[in-house]
Amino acid sequence: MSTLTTHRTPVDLDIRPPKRFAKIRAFYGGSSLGAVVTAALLVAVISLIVAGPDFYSVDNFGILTSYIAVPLVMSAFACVGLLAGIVDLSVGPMVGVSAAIFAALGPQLGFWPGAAIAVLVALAAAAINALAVVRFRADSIAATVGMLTILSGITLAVIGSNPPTYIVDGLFAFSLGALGPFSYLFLIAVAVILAVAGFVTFHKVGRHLRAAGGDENAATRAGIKVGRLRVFAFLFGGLGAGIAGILYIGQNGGPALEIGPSLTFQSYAALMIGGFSLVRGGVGNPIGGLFGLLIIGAVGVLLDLQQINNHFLDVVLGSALIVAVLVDRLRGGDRFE
Amino acid sequence: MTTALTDQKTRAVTAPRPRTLKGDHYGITAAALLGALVIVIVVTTVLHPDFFSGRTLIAIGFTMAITGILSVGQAIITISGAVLDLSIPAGLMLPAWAVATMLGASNPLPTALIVLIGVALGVVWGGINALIVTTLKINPIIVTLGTNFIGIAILSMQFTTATVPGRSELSMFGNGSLLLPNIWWVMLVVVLVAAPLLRYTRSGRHLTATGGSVPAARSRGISIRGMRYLAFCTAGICYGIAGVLFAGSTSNFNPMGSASLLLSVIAAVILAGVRMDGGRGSILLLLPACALLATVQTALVFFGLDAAMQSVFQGAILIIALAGDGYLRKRSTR
Amino acid sequence: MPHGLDTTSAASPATANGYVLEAAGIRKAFGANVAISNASMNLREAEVMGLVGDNGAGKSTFLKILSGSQPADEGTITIEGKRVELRTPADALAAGIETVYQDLALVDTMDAAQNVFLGRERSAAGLAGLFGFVSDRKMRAEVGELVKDLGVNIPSLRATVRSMSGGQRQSLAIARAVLWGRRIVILDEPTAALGVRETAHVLDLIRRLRDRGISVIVVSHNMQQLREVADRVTVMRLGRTVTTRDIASTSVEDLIGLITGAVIPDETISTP
Repeated sequence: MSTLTTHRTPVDLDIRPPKRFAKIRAFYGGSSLGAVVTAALLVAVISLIVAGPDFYSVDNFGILTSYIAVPLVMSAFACVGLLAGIVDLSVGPMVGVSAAIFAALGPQLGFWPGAAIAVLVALAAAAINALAVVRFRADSIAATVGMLTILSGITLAVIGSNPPTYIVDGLFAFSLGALGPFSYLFLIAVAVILAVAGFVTFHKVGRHLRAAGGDENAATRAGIKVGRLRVFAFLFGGLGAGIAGILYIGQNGGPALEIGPSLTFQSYAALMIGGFSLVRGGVGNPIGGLFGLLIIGAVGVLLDLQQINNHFLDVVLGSALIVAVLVDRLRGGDRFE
Repeated sequence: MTTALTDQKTRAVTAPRPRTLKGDHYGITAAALLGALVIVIVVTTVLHPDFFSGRTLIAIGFTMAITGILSVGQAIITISGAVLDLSIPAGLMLPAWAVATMLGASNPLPTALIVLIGVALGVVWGGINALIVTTLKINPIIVTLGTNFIGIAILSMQFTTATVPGRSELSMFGNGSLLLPNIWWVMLVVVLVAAPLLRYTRSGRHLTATGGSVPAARSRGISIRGMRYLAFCTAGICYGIAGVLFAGSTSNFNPMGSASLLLSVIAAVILAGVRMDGGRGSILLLLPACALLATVQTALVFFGLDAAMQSVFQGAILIIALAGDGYLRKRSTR
Repeated sequence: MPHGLDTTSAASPATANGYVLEAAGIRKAFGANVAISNASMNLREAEVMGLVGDNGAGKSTFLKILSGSQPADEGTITIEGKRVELRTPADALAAGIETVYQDLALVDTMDAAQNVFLGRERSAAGLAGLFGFVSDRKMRAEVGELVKDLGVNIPSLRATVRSMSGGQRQSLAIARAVLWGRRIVILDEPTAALGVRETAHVLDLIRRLRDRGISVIVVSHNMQQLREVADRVTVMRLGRTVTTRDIASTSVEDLIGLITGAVIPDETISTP
């Protein structure tokens, strides 16, 4: 046998002691580094040209960190779905519906009952998505477009012509607080990201989620319950969206019709810059998503400061989405036909 | 990422089963749709007798016309294997906005030319999508998700409300009726022209074959790239026509005004028995499917559902239709 | 001794009649279409059994039933004298049957060690392990020992499976089966997509499995290869297992005759 293999490339079993920082590399998600760095440099250069060096102020960083805190919490939960191979476009509107219901019910029922109902509604929406996609095998993008419309309708009905306001004193004060340029909410969001990153990298269930997204058949044959994991991923995303909605009210004091599809786009474009994929599961790391969202958020703040039409951000997000899918394909994703 | 996005790979190895007209159950689908239509009409009439009137028929005709034309475009894309075009709202809004702007100009062009430009813009929109799909080789669902978002955003920067002059020829035509609304008759013509074109022409066959199996079509010398352009641009003609009629029948509209149409269109295509995995489906069946959806939508108004609840209802119909489609596909692959 | 080398000791002695696996009277129909009507197989400890038959003879259905991916309609499966119900892949895995499918069932986005331990990850030490956290270091060390021991040649344990050649992927999938297949390993056309050198390597791997006391079922179209590696061979024809022969006393011509129906078997397979 050995004579047959000697002319092959030399055997490199790689069971030597791991390379330096190997753990950090594995934790970070390997190949996404290039995309994050490239995008960050691009944004840095553009912002320098457009806004000049003044853009890099502590104040602006403070604005950035509080701006992306809520989307970050939502993304931390939603990225688990991408890992498991499902795309839930309705997570953004779930945040909207949770915020609207919490603001409408909170003043009458109190904080906890209002929050519980808001989270339950988000979870119910996620459960319906899971039923349609996992049990009945509906296409996840198309089916969640339907859920997106349902939730926008409910949000519209709840908010109506007279948007409710609900100031939760403790939460409001907390969301104004900051440690240097880092708002408290942002720090909490980062903690959530780190926790989810640890979960999907080192935990057994996280490993199985990755496998379910990477190759459904292989995972099934290894005895992994792919359907059950995907249902879990949907519900996990719904839970995150519910919580994000409550944080949104805590930060802003009232719901807004705008939080919806745009939020989904923002989050998914960021996750894709960070190495996740919409067309294949199993790849990406939440920490990459954190950097992706910092980059997207910087673009948002930049446009805001320059008083550029905020529809322009949507154009950037839509383009970023397509470019990110292209980059993912070049990085090894499947091409269409 | 379940089903449609990964099907591309698995479909390559499974040869398409031979299908006959009988095997596709077109007759049963048509009967079921018409039966459901009768039930909806009877139930609504019993509960709200004023539902059964000429005015209701006209209202249904208006709702059905735009959806019907758009669903022909969507069905062609789905049958050709490009799964779904989520950019329909932008594909309709672009020509509609252009037409409204041109009609509102102080010295407007001849109406025929404006209509032609409107339809051409629809084709351009389809071409852009096809260009991205074929050159970047990205799944059309994601491409059109992105282009729709971009398109609507760009249009939102151009206008907040578009007003169509009520005295223009197009508005007179668009709001007029001859038993049924004029635009309904246009829709009928579009369906009756598209159905035989897809079924009996060489290009139509090639489109259907591409949807059935890309490797098989490619091995028989069919240009897949060409078929993608053909599908998206033909669909673009439908979007262009729908956009022109939308402008002609709506006195003023905003850039988001076409968003909810997408759901009805996808639901209609699925109800008509067009399978999401491509390669089969009947254009003619879009007629009863769209009639059913338009009737339900109009009936809901009689039950007092407001706009917000209407969108809840449309979303629910879409999810149920997709779940049914997925379930049937799952069963047929066993 | 690392866990990976422990597999032989896990295989308890076979039952009195010497069979690790006995499948009898297996029947499976899909609607009106009967895929297999009467399939049987007796597998001894530490032997390589070939499974041959023409296309449509029912090989892959039989295989799927033995590996739990499809439940049988009728028939009994006995493992070391104990009746088992194989309704899901998990049942088969629990019974000590590992299957290497033609598509290998490797997750492209994961590395070699993660794939080998997919679904049975080693827990991290201490409290973290109790909460379900896994240790890549442990798994990598075990897989490293295993591939060295089996002479499997893969570029790196950290590289994703996507970057590997067909032979490397096949070897990795077999290595995984060795680590977990306590009693029986089923290989579906293991050399179909491989070059000459890689084929030789895989055949060598199969012999090593037998030397470790594992029983192997190999489905193959290549009679020459089967003669090289198998001890006995079971022939399927028209949904039935028509005979089981010692490979040494059967010529390739005889085998082809049995497969096509040109040679009528003169004994039934149930007699040992």
